[in-house]
Amino acid sequence: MSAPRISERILIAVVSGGAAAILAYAILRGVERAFYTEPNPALLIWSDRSAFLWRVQESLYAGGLGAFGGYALAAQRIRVRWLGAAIVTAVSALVLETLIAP
Amino acid sequence: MSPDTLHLVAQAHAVAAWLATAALLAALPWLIRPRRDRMTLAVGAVAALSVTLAGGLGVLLEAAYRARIRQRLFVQSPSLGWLFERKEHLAFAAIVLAWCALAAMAASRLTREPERAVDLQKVARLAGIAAAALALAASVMAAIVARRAHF
Repeated sequence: MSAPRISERILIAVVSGGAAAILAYAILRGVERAFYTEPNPALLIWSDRSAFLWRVQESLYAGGLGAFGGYALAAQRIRVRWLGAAIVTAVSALVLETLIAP
Repeated sequence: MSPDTLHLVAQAHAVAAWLATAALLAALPWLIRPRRDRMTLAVGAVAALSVTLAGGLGVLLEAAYRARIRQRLFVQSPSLGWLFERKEHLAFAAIVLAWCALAAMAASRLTREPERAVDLQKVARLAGIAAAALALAASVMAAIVARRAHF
């Protein structure tokens, strides 16, 4: 199997970055709910910062790191079955988090 | 943001979200078939851009949601409040997955290896189906909350 071209590697990196971002989002929210007490939303009049936007920002940062990993992995002369597994893992984690720890 | 502008942006967000969901669902038959033509890429790009636009409008509403709606929603019904929080998680994932599907489809067009192309098409299908399903779930959840909470 030939080595992928740079443009192909960049696109594979984008996909792996997306999977890493979704996984990071699910983990961040899970950790927040499991280890930190949140104020009761019915009593909280107003908050200065959005926890949702903070999670999005942090998970996109983690996605950026995942993209570098994906770019490095894409250089291997192997099939990219791992990418499908990464997407399935990330989506499963997010759905689980949404159901268990919204 | 004035209440009138806010109302307008909220309506635009709802319409854009449903249009984006429709675009993602409409893109599925293109993603599922094995052909890798420019039309498939164009359809995927329109779906990804539309879901991103809907998400962008949602971000514009986030401050107003925190200040004016979130507490009222949780006071009225905690289950509705948590449903809206769940919707945010799914919407974020739907946007990211739409771009993943597009990138995987584009990569499958570029590769010279048929086996790698098959793997990438599988990834595009997986991400596209997941994006459409999550976007649909998020749109339905938002509609339920908007209808029951009257905003």
